[in-house]
Formats: sequence, C-alpha cells, structure tokens
Amino acid sequence: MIGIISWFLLFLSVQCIDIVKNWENLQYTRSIDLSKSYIKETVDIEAINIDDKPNGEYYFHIPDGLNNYNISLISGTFNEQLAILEFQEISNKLYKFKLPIPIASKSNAKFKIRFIYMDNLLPLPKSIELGDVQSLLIKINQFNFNAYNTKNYELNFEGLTKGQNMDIINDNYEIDENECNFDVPTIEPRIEDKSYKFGPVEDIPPFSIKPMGLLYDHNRPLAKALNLERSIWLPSSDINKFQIEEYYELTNVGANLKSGFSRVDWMKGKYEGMRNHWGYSHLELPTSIENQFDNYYFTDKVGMVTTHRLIKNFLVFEPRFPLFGGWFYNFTLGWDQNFGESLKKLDDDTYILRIPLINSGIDLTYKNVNLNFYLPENSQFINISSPIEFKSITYDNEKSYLDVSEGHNKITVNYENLFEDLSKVDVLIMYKFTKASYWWKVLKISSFIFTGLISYYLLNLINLKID
Amino acid sequence: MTSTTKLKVLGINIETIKLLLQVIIFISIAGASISSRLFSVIRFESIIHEFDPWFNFRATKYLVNHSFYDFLNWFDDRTWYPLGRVTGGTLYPGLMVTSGVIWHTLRDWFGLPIDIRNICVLLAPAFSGLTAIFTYFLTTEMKDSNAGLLAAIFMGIAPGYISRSVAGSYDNEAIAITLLMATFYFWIKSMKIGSVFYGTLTALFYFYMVSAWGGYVFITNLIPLHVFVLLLMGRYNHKLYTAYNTWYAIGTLASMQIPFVGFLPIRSNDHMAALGVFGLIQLVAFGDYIKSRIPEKQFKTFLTVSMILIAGLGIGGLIGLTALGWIAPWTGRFYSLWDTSYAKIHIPIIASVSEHQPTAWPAFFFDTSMLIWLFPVGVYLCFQDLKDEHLFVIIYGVLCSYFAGVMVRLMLTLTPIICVSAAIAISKLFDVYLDLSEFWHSSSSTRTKLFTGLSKLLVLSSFTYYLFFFVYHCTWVTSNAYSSPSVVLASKNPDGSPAIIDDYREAYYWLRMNTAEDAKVMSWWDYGYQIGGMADRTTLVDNNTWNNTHIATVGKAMCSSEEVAYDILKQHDVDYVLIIFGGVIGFSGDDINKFLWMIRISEGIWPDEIHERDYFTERGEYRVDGQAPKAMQESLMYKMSYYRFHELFMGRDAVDRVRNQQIPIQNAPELSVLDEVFTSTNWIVRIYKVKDADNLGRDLKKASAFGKNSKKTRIAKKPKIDLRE
Repeated sequence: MIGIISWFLLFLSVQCIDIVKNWENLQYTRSIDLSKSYIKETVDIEAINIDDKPNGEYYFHIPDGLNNYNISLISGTFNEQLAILEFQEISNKLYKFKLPIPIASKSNAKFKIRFIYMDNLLPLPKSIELGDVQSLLIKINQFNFNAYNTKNYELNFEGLTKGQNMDIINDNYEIDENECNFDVPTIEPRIEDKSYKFGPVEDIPPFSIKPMGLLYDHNRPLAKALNLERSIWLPSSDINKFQIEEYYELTNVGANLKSGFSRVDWMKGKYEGMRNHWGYSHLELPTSIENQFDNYYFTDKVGMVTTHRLIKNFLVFEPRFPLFGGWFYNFTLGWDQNFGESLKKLDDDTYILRIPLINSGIDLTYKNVNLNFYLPENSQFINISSPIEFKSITYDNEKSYLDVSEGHNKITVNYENLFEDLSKVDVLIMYKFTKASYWWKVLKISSFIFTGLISYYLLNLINLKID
Repeated sequence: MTSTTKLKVLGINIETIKLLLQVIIFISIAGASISSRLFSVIRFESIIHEFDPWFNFRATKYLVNHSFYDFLNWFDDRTWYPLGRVTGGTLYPGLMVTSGVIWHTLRDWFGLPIDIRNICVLLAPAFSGLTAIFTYFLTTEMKDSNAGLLAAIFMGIAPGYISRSVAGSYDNEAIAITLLMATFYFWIKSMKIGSVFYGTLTALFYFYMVSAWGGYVFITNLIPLHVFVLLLMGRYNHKLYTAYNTWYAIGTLASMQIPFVGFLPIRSNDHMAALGVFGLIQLVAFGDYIKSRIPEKQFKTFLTVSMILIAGLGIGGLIGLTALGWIAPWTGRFYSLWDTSYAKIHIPIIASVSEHQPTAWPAFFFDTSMLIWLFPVGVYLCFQDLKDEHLFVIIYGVLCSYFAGVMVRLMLTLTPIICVSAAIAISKLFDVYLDLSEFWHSSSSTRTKLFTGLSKLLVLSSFTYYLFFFVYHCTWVTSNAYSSPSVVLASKNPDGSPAIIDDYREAYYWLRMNTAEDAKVMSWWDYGYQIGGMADRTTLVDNNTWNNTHIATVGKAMCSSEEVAYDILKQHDVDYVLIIFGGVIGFSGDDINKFLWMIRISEGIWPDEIHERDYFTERGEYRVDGQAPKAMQESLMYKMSYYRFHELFMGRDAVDRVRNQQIPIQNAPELSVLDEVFTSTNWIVRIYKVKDADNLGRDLKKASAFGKNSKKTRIAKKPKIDLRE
C-alpha cells in the first residue's frame, strides 16, 4: 500500500508541473559525442516566444525520457555566449532556466545547452575475446523530449567510426506513457562529415519518444573510478608545499573477457602498447604548471607499485594487471604540490586555497568522489565554494602525526558522477589559522617532551639498587 | 673508585670520559646493526619478507583491529579449508603483542599514528640494537666491558643473526634472540649473586621468550643443564639454589599462561630436564643439609641408598607416564635433531623445508666469518678460568655447535655464543698486545723492546685487518644474501638498468580484486601464508603444516591425472588453483622443482596410488622434456605449468629455462578440468579456475574435446573462396 502511495506521489511530482506552452522551438539540433567513455551532448535551440507577453523562463528536459543514466553536469549559454544560463532542477531531469532578459512576444532566442551523462553505454556482446573489437550499444530517444512544439529537428552522432542503429523495446519511461507522443515519423540515418545524422524533420509534437539503439565500435576501455578519496593535507607551518593523496577504486565497465585472461594471447597481440584496445592497461594523468607530481608514489594494499613513469606532460601508470570488463583494481597515488598561486592570504590569519576538483585521468569517469580537506590542527574552517553542486559536506577530526589536541580539521565534500574535464574546475576553501594556535601546538608538544625528560630524571633519583 | 687521586684528562674525570665513550660506542653499534639491516627497505620498499612473516603480519593486523581476547580466541576459517585453524591457541603471541603494544603506544601516547606494516617491518632491526646491548651485558659478566663491547658489535653485524632479522623479516626469531640474550644475562647475574630479584627478571624474560618463539625449549634445557653440570662438579651453593628455584617456579607458571604452551611444561619430554633438575636441586639441598648434621660415614650410606632409590623412581616414572600417555611422546622435529636422516625417511614434510636441512660447512664461515675460528679460542679461554659462568658459555657452545650442524636454522642460536666467545678471545688478545706499559716501565734492553714492539705491531695490525675484513664480509653477505624480500625479485632491464619482478604481488592482488571473497584457492603449502596475507582468500594448506594428511591431499591433486585431481578439487570446494612456474624467466624456486616433495608427501599417505618411481625416467632421471614419464606428463602440475607454454616459441619446441630441457611441441599439454584465468607478466604465477560440472552430464574431458572440435569445423568452413576461381 505504502509502495503504491509513494509511487503515486512520485508520479504526481513529475506530472504536477504544468508547463505553459509559451515557446516554440524553431530549430532543435542535438549533437551527441560518442568518442569518450561518457556522453557529451550539445543541444542548439532557437525558440520563439509565442505568448502575448514577454517571457523570461524556459523549461528544458534532458531530451531522452528513457530513465537509465546519470547526469553529470549541465551548462548553457544564451544568444551566442552573451550570458551564461543558470539551471534549476525542477524534478528528475527537468530543468528551468531564467533568461538574462525577458524575451518579447514573437521574438527569438538562441540557447546552447551542454550536458554530460554516463552509465548509458552497454557492451554488446557482453563478453568478447581478447582480439575482438568492442561494440557499445547506446539506448537513446531518437527525438527530442521537450515540452514545446518543434518546427525543425536534427540529431547528429559524432566520434564513432562504425555504427548501426537498431530498434529497441523500452518499457521504462520517465513519465506516464499517456503523456508521451509515440506517433513519430520514421527517419533514415545518413553519414555526413564523419558524423551519423538523422533529420532534419519538421513539426515534432511535445514529448516525442522513439527509443533507438545505436551499436558502434569503440575499442577503448570504459574506465570508471567507483570511488575516489582525494585528500588535501595542508601544512601548519609556512612551507610552500602541501600533500595530496588520492585513493582510487577503478573498474572497467566495458566488455568482459569471454574466457580467462591468457598471457600468451596478450603477449602475442602486443595489446600492452596499444592505445586502441578495450583492456584498460594505462592510466594517464596530465601534469600542469601547478602540479608536476613532485615526489609522487603509487601504492596498493600489498605495497609499492613500480610500473609508472613521468613522461612529457603526463604521469603514466600501469595497474598491476590490465582491467577488462568487471575487473577491479585499487590503488593510492600521492604527491607534493607547491602552493604557488593557489594559496592566498586574505589577512594575517585567513587563508583561501584554490584546488582543482579532481586530478583527472584521461577518459575516466567517477561515480563517487570525496574531496577531503585536512586543515591544520586548531584551525577554523570558514567556508567552501564549489562551482558544481555537491551532494553533501561533513566535518570531522582526524589525528595525524604529532596532533596533540583535536587533530586535523577534516572537511569532506561529496560529489557524484564526475568526468575528466572537471579537473579544470576549481574548488575554493577558506579557513583561519592564527599564529597563536600554531605556537600553542608547538608549546604543547615541547612541554610533553620536557615533562617526559624531567620525569626520567626524577625517576633516576630513586635508588633501586639491591646489590 | 676507591683511589683518592682520580685520573684526569683535560680536567675531566677519566671515568666520565670512559662513560661518554661507551655511550658513543653503544649508539654507533646500535646504528650499525640497525642500518645494515635496511638494505632491502632502501633497495625495494618497506615490505614484509618471505612466507612466515606474512602470517605474523596478518595476525598482528587482526590483533590491532580486534581486542586481545578476540585474538587469543581467534578461530581462522580462512585457512586449512574446510578444517580451519584455532589460530589463537596455536601461535606464539609475543611478536604480535609486542608490535601491537608499540603501535598503541606510539599512536595513543606519542601522537604518531604509524602504519602497523612499518612497525612490523622495522621491528627486527630495532630489536637487533637491543640484542647488541644484552650481549654486551652478558659478555661483561664473562670477562669485562671491553669484551662486552666487542661482543656487542659482533652480534650487531654477524650475518648469522642478520639472516633472520633484516627489516621485513617479521618472524618470531626477530625478537626471540634479544630475549634469549636477556634471559641468559639475567640468569648469569642471578646465579652469580643468588638474587631473587634477578631470578625473577630471568623468569619474566623467559616468559616473554616463551610467548614469542618455540625455541624457548632451548633455554628450558640449557639452564637446567648448566645447573646439572655445576651440581656434578660439586659447585652447589645457596646462590645457585635461589636462582634456579626462583627462575623455575615463576618461569614455569608464567609460561603455562600461553595457550599454545598450556600444560606442556609438566607433560612434554622437552621440559622434563628442567623439572628433573628442579627435583634434583631440592634433593641436593636436602643432602647438603643432612651432610652438615650427620657424620660423614653415615652420610655415605644415606647417599648411596637415596641415589639408587631416586634413579629407579625417576626412570620408572618417566617410562610409566610415557606409556600411560600422560606425557607427550618425543616430537619428529626432536628426533631429527639427533638423526639427520630421520626426517627424510619418516616425515618428508619436515625434510622438505630448506631450513631444516643439515648445514653445509661453508655456511659456518659465510655466517660468522672470522668469528668461527676465534670461537674455539674463546671456549678454551673459558676453560682456563672455568668459573660458574664460563661453564655456561662452554655448555652453550658445545650444544649449539652440534645443533647448528644438524639444522641450518639453528645457526641462529649458535651465532650469539660464537660472538661472545670470539669477543672474549679477541679482548684477551688485545689485553696482552695493547699493553704498552712495559715500554716505559720495564728495564729490558732496547733490542728486546724492539722485537716485542714489532711482534705486537704485527699481531695488532693483522687483527685490525681481520676486524676490518669482518665488517666488510658482514656487509657484503647482508647486502647480497639476506636482503631479498623474496616476494619481489631483483632483475635487470635489457639496457642494464635495475628492474624488479613483481609477479607474486601481481597475481595475489588479482585474486584479491577479481575473485569472490569466499573463493577457495589451492596451492602448495609454501604460498598459503602469502595468499592469506596478500590475496586475502581462503586456502587449503599453509606454512603452519599442522595437518600432514591435508597437505598430502593437495600433493595428490597436483601429482595425479586430471580425472583423479578433479574429484579432489570438487570434494574440497576448490575454486582456483595457483602454481608457481619459473620456466619462462628461469626462476628456479618453482613448483616443478618442489614437485618431488609433493609426490613423496602424498605417497606417505597413499602408498598404493602414488609412487615416486613413476615420476622418474627408467634411468632414474627427473625430466620434463620429451622423455618425461607418463605419470609426469599426465600430472596436473605438469599440465598447469606448461599449458600453452609452447605458443611462446612460435611453433618450435619450447625451452624450459630452469631445467634447460626442450619440450617437444607434441607434448604440449591440454587441460579439460581447469580454465586458465590469469598468468602474471613473467609467467611466475599461473592461476586456473576449476570448471563446473558439465551441463549435459558429460565428463569434462569429452566436453572440452567437443568444444574444441566444434571450433575447428567452424574455421574449416571459411576458405571456400579458392573454389570460385
């Protein structure tokens, strides 16, 4: 009974938003980039305000309606990058954004919306031989799942070498099937400018759905970090260095090996040095001016891993064994980084640190990321600023070397579904660390040592001789 | 210091300078002994070595993550599947508790949350510093502090001890030798002054030793033997009585608190000597009392009667109790101490361990360098003085020389006494030859002085050279022979740069990451502890070797044909089989080289089914090439080792680089009951998955043959293009 009620409430929450059809899409172009292990989609919309009065809001639904993937990031610009759009999530995958200026009746506006989603690629067949080429199936709505009428619609797939589309049956729609429009024209694909195109088609009614599958060759691994613990250890003294340690739980969500892993086949095929093989054997981490991976190290639960090298612009790491679909590997990477420009002193005691959200491996996606800041002992956390939304923030203390009071202040910020490009995004943290609290710690440690020495001296005064 | 005129150098009391020098020397000795054990950490990393230390490390992790009582009651269902092991009751907890205490102390009191692995890795070097100090005290009791300092430095760097105490060799011996020296020092001290206090300290260190190493039995027998010899020599006194009784009473009661030891001190024959001497010393004390009260003639009669009575009662009791089964029979390891071929005939499992082999003569020089020829000199000098404590050195030296000759690992217990004796010898020599006072005091002629001086210079310079050479030898041996973790192997790249072979960890980590958490892994027992420690998976047998039949079962599976082996694998729920194969890179410590032991051990249990002879050629050779006997070629071990090995050689005959034998391509084995699931980079570790029973109820050989045939027909259909032309 409770299940039915909650289902009904959920249904209402999706359905209750009564979107006024005050826009009409003159042009609606979807471009889907399939070259990576996640999907980058760009939607170009040119819309006209068909209302009588000026309108400053547009409802945008991630154009799918098939509820089977996770959104990482959504961003958009208005009229050729004139302004950045701010999205507000109304319900599951339905966003509203406010335009910088209301658009007059019968006037046009252009939006470019980009979003990234993941966990939507399925290896087909699920298990293949070492020498086979991996094919991925993406299930997608061939049309645009949108609240407004669309005059002209196009769909492009990019970044694939070979593909074929197939009809699929979908029985897991996001909204009530009665609301959807399944009566859609049949459109044939064509190849143009190295991309796979559908359309243009005219006059698409709102919430049009036609599930389609695209099976394409993708002989690269689908590497995913199921968990990433990124820990930033800030020093309490004035040295110009801080430490970063990252713990990864890696997997490959691509195709499985049909039989066991055969070293002979792996050696004979020379897959180790191949860039285009679906076995994940190299993790590449780009260096930057700020981060040169000083004194870096790789370890896992059985000790040091020595298969790594720093080559031009990249730190390349080979896991102990290549990862095929369903295989796992955990490791820890640590290094020192100079503060350089990333730490600013606002006043005598207040600091602000800028740090990339992640330190991304090439073509790597992340399921769950904990960004941990270990502020010096006796410091005070003030605020944190993240350009993308985090799921939660927690405060804790953790004792490290020579922590004699509460221990380091630990701030954990949790994110989900990140991808490689978010390494360009910085998180700012502001904290207070006074000279007095620093000296208090020094004093406390030295008084402990002093007490120890004095007690030793006093104990020595007691005569225990029995000879 | 009783003299009123104190010697002064630069206005400082000479005693102060002496003390300062001693402290500096001690720090240097500790520094030398610790740093010479760090080769492997610097060359490789902070890693636990070899096999047994992995179990100790795993147990320590269990201890620090659970309570002490949980640890003592630990039943480990992840080893010896399906039997399990009462781990808490069958281990010596001293080592783990020591690390645990250090870990807690540093963490809770000093604000240093050091990783438990690093504590375990560095425990042995840290304790070696302490060993040097206790050796100093012990030798000081024998001669003087000069000899003590020499003994300390010898002990600090002697390879015989380093072999068991480099960083990472986290084994019981790591702390046991320290405790051995401490116990002996306190024993000598208490025996000399008849102190209950020192007797108690001896007992407490003895208890610590019992908690740490099975070799405590050595102390249990050596101290009574010392006392027994003293009694025979008529050197009984009240000091000896006090010291021995204090040690025995407290030490035995304390040692019985260790679950693994329990009631052994009053039941096992290993402990009977201590109990016997305890009784004897009471009688001697009683006799001594009687003697002081009655005339000599009566005393003689009393002595004769009581001696016969006691001897009869004692021997009768011993036989009776053994027959009744109240006291344990002599253990196999004990027999093999007296008869070196005993183990080979009766207990192959003991003989199969390389450290239980008799010592080769060069090993003595290798492990102790010049000390080995100074050792008899030291013992001789002890005979010259022959005080009570010197007798201890003599007994210890003689006993251990024999034991070290029987078993390689007992070299470890011999090393301390070699160091002590050699230090006594060198120090005596230096006493004489460094005494330059006669040059300005004696009235001898210049000519005599010149010759004396020259001879002194010659002896001193040659011994300086020997000492220098000793340090050089020790460092070389430590660096080259005893600093390999054996989990990681050193190698070289084609361009000469150093490389490491990390296959073990690669495969173990693969198991840990990519198999079900409750997967059962079968391998030869050598790798049991490593699989438990690194792969964290259930094993059938491990280095504890408590159940010979279970080990023989694994051996049987390895040396039988696929059909026989499959039944064993299925009966034991085995999911994966792990083997070590060195044929690709020439790693000689692989399973094919250990194979004969598997055969011998299983033959011991199933003499009707397994015959060692079947695995040799008719000419009695052990071969894996084309002439390998049928039993060999059909054994699971052979098949697993060489499965798809030929494909590396592009259609030519495969070459096994360990045994330097060519394996013809037609001998390429096929596997039908196992699937290859992982092979490490250099092929050292190969892991196979046990196939499930066939869906159609066929036997797996037929099923896999059918699978192969169907594949072939599909390929055969392909080249039809030719026909079109």
